[in-house]
Amino acid sequence: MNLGIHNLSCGYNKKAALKNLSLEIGSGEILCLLGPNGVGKTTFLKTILGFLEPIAGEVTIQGKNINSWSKKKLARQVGYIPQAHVSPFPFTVMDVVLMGRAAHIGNFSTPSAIDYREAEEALEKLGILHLKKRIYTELSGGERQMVFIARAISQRPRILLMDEPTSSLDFGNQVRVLSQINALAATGLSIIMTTHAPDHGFLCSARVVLICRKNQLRIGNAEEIVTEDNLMGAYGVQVKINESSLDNGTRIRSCIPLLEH
Amino acid sequence: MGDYEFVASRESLSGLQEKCSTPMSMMTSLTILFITVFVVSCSFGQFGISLSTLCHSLILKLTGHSEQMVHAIDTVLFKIRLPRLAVASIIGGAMALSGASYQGIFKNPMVSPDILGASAGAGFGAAIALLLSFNMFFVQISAFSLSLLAVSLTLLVSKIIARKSSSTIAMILTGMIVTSLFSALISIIKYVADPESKLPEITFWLMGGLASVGTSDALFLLLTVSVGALPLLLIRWRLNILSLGDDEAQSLGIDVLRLRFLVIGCSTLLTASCVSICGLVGWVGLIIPHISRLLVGPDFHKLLPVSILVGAIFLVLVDDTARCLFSVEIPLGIITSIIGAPFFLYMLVKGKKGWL
Repeated sequence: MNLGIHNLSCGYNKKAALKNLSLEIGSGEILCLLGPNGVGKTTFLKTILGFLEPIAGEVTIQGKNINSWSKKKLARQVGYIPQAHVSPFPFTVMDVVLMGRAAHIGNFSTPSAIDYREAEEALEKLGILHLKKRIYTELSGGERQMVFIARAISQRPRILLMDEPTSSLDFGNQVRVLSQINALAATGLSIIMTTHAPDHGFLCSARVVLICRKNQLRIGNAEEIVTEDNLMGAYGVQVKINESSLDNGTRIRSCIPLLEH
Repeated sequence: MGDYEFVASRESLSGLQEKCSTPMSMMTSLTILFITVFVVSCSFGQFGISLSTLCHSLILKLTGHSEQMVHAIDTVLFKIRLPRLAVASIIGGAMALSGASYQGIFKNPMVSPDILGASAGAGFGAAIALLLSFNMFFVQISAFSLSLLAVSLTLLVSKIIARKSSSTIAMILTGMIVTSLFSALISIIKYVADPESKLPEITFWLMGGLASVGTSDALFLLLTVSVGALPLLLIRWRLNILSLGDDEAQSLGIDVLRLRFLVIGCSTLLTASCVSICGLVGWVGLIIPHISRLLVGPDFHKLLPVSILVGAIFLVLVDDTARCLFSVEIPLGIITSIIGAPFFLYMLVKGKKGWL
């Protein structure tokens, strides 16, 4: 198992936002964290990233507790794509992607030709090599998110954490980012993402952790967890889950909220 | 497939050379410019030395025949002018370097090296030493130690405020408070100082200048500035990552707290040693990194060396102006402010405003 979460409680200042979470994620699996604002989704990601110490329980990677790992050792295993933001300095796309190599470079050295090649490969994989010399603060939101994904690829982690990877993107870019997430998982990466769209669970054929208020957790396949009753319980709104069949014969579910009048 | 890979690697190799060649030629031309400015500046001053005499004297000195030189030229050139130009270059480079580094760790291009109270502390240290009629050496030592003390106070208090987290806002606010505290202390000293002798002395020191520097100052600076500059130059690529913010830098494998402590320590050492020698000379640490960013972009790997050279060239030119413009020397801090403030306004109006 790539990542193991054992009886984990996490939160700020010893106040647990999330209690007694246990799960295991293997290579190539996608895990969607669903739940209303403020239930501790981001807190959970930060605990895996080592920004916060677990209040109880432990996080293991390949069976080893990450508690005493150095930042560098952890960064070689776990990549992170934060929510959309803008840096104060207008770095080029190449500069940003190269930063992903930091965990593989000595403390006093700078990126070598190999690191440049890794960064270029990552850009090429996502089909955005032409953006290489552009200034990333001038890119559109969707392109910027792709640059961050490229940076995470050049970091070469086993586990990738994404905090609302599609937030603030237009519809086309949301679809493109989700396709890339599926493609990355197919290369063997374990992916954990927080999201506000229940459909993402179906689209990525993911396992879903639905976190409700008062710390009720439901864990399982998207089909088992993203149900009309569960979403009513978590968000307090009525939804209808439909199943449609695509031209190639696959069947996929989708979630339609029912608006009140 | 094999062909494709070959072409691809050729392409990436040429891209790489392109990447390296621009900053290299920039560094080379800046170095040549710096040497030219430095040598030509040797001939400027109240005691004019023509370029041919200058070359002749330099050759005589280098070949060990300094006894053939006119005594006045020997004194002016090697005892006064060269040390002064050396000090100006080192201070310009060091202030620009510490300014650029501060802007990186505080994720804000508007930050200058005295934001944590370094200058105010140094000013108070110098003022108190001048009031007590210590000699210049002790004035510098006092300025240096109080500068470090002021920054330590800022860091300590902000650490208590922000507890375990590493809020830069807490640091900047505390820096402002410490600065205003030390400014008040400077005012008290000025208020009680003898208005005939001590007050002008303190006031002139605070306005900044290089009139009294000598070889020993150059050597002191060379030592402390090397100690402060070397670590910054070694970790400069990592400043890129630090400027993204704490969480992101940490997720990329950077030990944020340790790296930030190292950068603040080194930059403060640079600022304190400069301020203790030349008094309060503002703006260099703020505008030079901006000019350098216009030349080579925001990548700290290229930015720091370029900032050092541009800073050195800038302060040598400013010091030339201070020495030559009028028959009386103008305090350095006044000229840097007169140049810096309009330039900064221009930057705000015209420049790339990705950070506003």
